[in-house]
Amino acid sequence: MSQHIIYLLPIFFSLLGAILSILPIRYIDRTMSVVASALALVSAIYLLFQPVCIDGYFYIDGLSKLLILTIAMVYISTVLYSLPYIKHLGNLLFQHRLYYFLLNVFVATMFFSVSVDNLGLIWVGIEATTVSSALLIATKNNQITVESAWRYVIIVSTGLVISLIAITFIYGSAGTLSLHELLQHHPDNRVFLIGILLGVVGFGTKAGIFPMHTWLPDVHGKAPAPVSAIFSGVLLPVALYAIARLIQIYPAHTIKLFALTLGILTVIAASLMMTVQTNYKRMFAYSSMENMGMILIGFSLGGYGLLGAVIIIISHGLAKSSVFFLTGDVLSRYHTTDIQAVNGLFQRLPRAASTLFLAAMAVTGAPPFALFVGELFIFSALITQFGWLIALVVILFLAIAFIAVNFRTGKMIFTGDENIKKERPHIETWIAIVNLILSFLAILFIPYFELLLKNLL
Amino acid sequence: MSYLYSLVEIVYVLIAAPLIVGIQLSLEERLESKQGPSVFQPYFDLVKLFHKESIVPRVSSPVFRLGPYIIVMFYAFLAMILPIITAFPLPFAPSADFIGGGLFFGAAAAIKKFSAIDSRSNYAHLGTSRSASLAVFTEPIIMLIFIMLGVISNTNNPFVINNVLRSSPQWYYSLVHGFVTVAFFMVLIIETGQLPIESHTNGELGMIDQAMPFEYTGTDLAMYKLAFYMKTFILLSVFLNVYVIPFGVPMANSGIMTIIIYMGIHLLKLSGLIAIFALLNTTVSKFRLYKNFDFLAVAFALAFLASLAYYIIK
Amino acid sequence: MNQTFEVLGFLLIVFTLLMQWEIHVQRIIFLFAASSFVIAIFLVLLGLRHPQEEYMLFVLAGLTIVVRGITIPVVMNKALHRLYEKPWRVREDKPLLGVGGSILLSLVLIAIGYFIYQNSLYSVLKVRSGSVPFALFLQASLLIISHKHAYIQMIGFLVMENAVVMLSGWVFGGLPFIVEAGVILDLLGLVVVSSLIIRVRESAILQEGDTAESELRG
Repeated sequence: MSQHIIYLLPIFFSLLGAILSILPIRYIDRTMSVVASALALVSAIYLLFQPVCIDGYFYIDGLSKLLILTIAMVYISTVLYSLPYIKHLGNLLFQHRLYYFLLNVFVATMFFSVSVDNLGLIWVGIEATTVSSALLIATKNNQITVESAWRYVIIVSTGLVISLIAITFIYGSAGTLSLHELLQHHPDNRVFLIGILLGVVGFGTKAGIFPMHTWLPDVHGKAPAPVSAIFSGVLLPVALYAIARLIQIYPAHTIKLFALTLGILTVIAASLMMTVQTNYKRMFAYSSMENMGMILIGFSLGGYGLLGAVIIIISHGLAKSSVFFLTGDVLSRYHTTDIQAVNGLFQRLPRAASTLFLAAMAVTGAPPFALFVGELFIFSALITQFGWLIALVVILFLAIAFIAVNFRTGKMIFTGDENIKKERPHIETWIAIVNLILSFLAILFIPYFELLLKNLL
Repeated sequence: MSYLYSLVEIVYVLIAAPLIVGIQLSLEERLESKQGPSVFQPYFDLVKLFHKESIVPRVSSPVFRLGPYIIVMFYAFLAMILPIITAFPLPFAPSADFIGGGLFFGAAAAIKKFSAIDSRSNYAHLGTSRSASLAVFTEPIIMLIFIMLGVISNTNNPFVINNVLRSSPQWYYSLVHGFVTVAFFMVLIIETGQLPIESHTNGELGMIDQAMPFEYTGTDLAMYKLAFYMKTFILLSVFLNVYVIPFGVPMANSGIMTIIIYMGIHLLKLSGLIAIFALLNTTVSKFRLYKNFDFLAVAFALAFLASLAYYIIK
Repeated sequence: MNQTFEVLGFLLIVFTLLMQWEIHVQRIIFLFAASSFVIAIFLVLLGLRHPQEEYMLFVLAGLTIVVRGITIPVVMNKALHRLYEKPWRVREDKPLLGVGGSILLSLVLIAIGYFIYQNSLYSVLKVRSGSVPFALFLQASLLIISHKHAYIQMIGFLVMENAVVMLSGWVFGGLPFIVEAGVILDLLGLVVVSSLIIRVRESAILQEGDTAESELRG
């Protein structure tokens, strides 16, 4: 146990940051959050080079390590972006230090969810992310944000009760909830199968998977930019992590087919909804939903599909957080989320505008970015397992999504008349740029990801 | 001999029915710390009304006059076929089973409505339409209750149901029986006009049964009231003798003395139930007219739960 | 023992039906507290089956009473008191479904739960009347769907959680203690957080009227 204490480090640092930032000392919340997130990132990178840890308490293999790394990267960028953003946000529901407290707790619960070796505790962790993040959505206090926070709480908790039932089923039929025991040996009866299927539906609610995704656009459309970024970037993949484990435990054909169907339906629903959006934050929210659909397809296929899904998680997490940071920038200049009302972004903020253009390309899977490679892996697995036709359908809807997002983003950036003056750029645009570059650079590490995920492929 | 029992039973119902209502009215006043009328007040009312002249609206037909008499006849007949003082069938009992008894109750209610409508008074029409719209939803509940008891005892005979419930504790203490009893209690509240549903005042907004005999006077009104007393008495007796306390009702081989002693016990049982109603009437406030249907929905839900419980627990 | 469980299960179903019937929020909260106590009794009975091995169930029963039976209703009640001048008069004023209709629908859901359980799971689980927790779950989801008042939706969610406790105890013999304890802690956090959110939401609606609908669409 004692040598395994290092696996606790990310959780420990973020919790420490939470406790220290609640102290009533001026600026301690900001400094301690930055320090905690930096330490968490360092320990996450350090964990990459540690051996796989599987005991009764933790289950940390390559997938968990990569998720911890993604969470840590989005965590530090979110904290850095929040420093100026929250300061300028008027009419807050609570004090600044409660915001940082909740943010740190939220990240700690995500670290917890991806590292424990017990399905029940994974559930507890994911439900705890709901508890800690609900108030973050309503940071800016008005009726609409509060309403969307309420919808988030009630829909997501209800969905998670379904996965709690699933966990009851799994425990009832297998007699254990420990991941490594379940992976070695699991029963093969109907109760266990229904348990896994219910779990896919229940955790899918939290990840914005098709039938219960309705909270997702509301929350992303109304939450403050850093919160949207961390939601879209890592919270949704953390919920998908649970589904990945469930599929890994019992890779039966029924379950794979079920997850694949849900994934494809998610992609279709999200792409169709994207074409009619008038609110750019909601549009990018649907884009996240579409990517979650792709990741679920990847997880359901297994093998190189899973590698592709992990690549999408990492690059999408970074690129989408970059997008949401930039939308926060746009919102603070234009004071509206209506696409029609945003014009001439390139003249006003050239740096932010070009980054937004590239980031929108990145999240919709344009070629030079790692997301494209991830989608390629998934499609190759899809074609070998299910043939061309299904793959073509998915590609068609991805193309619709690509056109819908990039056409609207391009409209926001490039229309506008000559006499719009250039404004002084915000310093925090650099955070978005760094994230976008990292998302691009992820392509170089794909062999390393493959090495880490060797036991799953 | 058994014809004698029938005669005793019908006389007993006719004599004791007003007493029960009298006890309830008196008890309600006592509970509110008032003096209250004597328990024999309904008898005095009846005697007074029998001595008075009946006035008939000019526009009405013979239905108006005949109605109350036919209803009293119906209830007298029901008194002979239902287990009120005996747990064994009396000579007339084979003429109708539980569903048949339910149909007789329904027929009596229908005749009551016809004769009320025939008075051509607006208030009577108001009460009739309200009463009819409640009855439409009450009937299915009663049917469901009878069907559930039929499922338990494999028969629709109230005497057999009484014997089954008193001799098999696994049914007496079952959820099915519990749900049926509560549902029937709620139906009783509707049928006998107790408080959450109906208060016996002449308020236009809430009156149901109170509005129907608006044009009756004298002997006709007395018959009408007597019919109401008998209905209450018979329904409460069936509820107690068949569902709640099926024990101790005299069996076939017990003599006339046992039956006479049981009459006293039976009155005590009824007084207990009446005390519950009195408590309800002094503590609960009246529902708005349209909320009565929610009450009915709950009663139906309980009756339906009884059937679900039967299948789920089986 | 099984019959006692059935009685408790049907008692919970009746409590949920009464919640559908009731429109006053405060009374619904009391009904929820009562059903939490029923759950605690259920856990104690479950523990009494094997008192040596499952002593943790007594701890869990105590935790259930403290958190679900007392703390959560008190927190919600306090929030009601802070928000309204006359908390006992707060009620559901725009239900999506009439009371009678929702009670009948709730009955249909109980029947559906029974048929699904009987046709899919009974042959494997062999637990008599195991459909009761499923029925309770479906009823609770109806409670959420058919009401617009946030407190009632919250109660619906909590009833759902109670149904899961019942399910795990009755059908599968209970979850590991650490998971159950985590679930209860999560619930507590969720209720505190959502009481805050509901309070802000309701006071905004009281002041400005309901304007959020139009922006959260599509």
